[in-house]
Amino acid sequence: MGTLNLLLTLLAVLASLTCTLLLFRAYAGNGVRLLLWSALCFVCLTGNNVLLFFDLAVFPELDLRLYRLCASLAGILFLLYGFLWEAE
Amino acid sequence: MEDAAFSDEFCRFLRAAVPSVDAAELLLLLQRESARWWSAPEAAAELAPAVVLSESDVARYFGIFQASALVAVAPDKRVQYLPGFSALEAHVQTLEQAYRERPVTLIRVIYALRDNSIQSFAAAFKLRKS
Repeated sequence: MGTLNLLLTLLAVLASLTCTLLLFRAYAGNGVRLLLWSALCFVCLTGNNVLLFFDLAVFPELDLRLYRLCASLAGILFLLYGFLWEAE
Repeated sequence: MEDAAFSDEFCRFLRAAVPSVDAAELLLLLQRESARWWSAPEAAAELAPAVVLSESDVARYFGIFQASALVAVAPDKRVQYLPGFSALEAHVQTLEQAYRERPVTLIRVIYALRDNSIQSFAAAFKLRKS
């Protein structure tokens, strides 16, 4: 179970980190602001997944849920702001 | 004017600083009378009746121009055309030329750039550029 948690959370970190890098790369290429807000969202989601990794795989005795939820909330707020900004 | 005039750099400038054709008209007005300090009502009045812009629209475009380092802003919120660096000046010159010589193409490019945010979002996840 511990190994499975380790693998899954590492995959989640890698996936979100890849999305972050791709979005920052695209923003650097074309300057579309929606990409910046999306990239910042994925920075937070990556943070959430890193916390999830430590929470489940490294320190299972700790409860980092509150910090994970805060990171996710910050990410969603970035994305929401980006979509509202672009809608204007 | 060749299509090459709409370079990636110029299109990036349009996307960042010229969100609409009205904004282009306003920017070119500021450029034509670059010595003058403009308030939003004065600029709106100057562009009318050919271009109908509310004072709040003009103020919003002034904000975009300021963020793009195209204008200087006085404490009383008047603005003067003052590009922060020479590349911006060149882009505005290109804009002026495109507006004079190929207005239809320019309008199409401005609105095409404005509407492609979602497309850019999707394209961001392509590992290789097509």
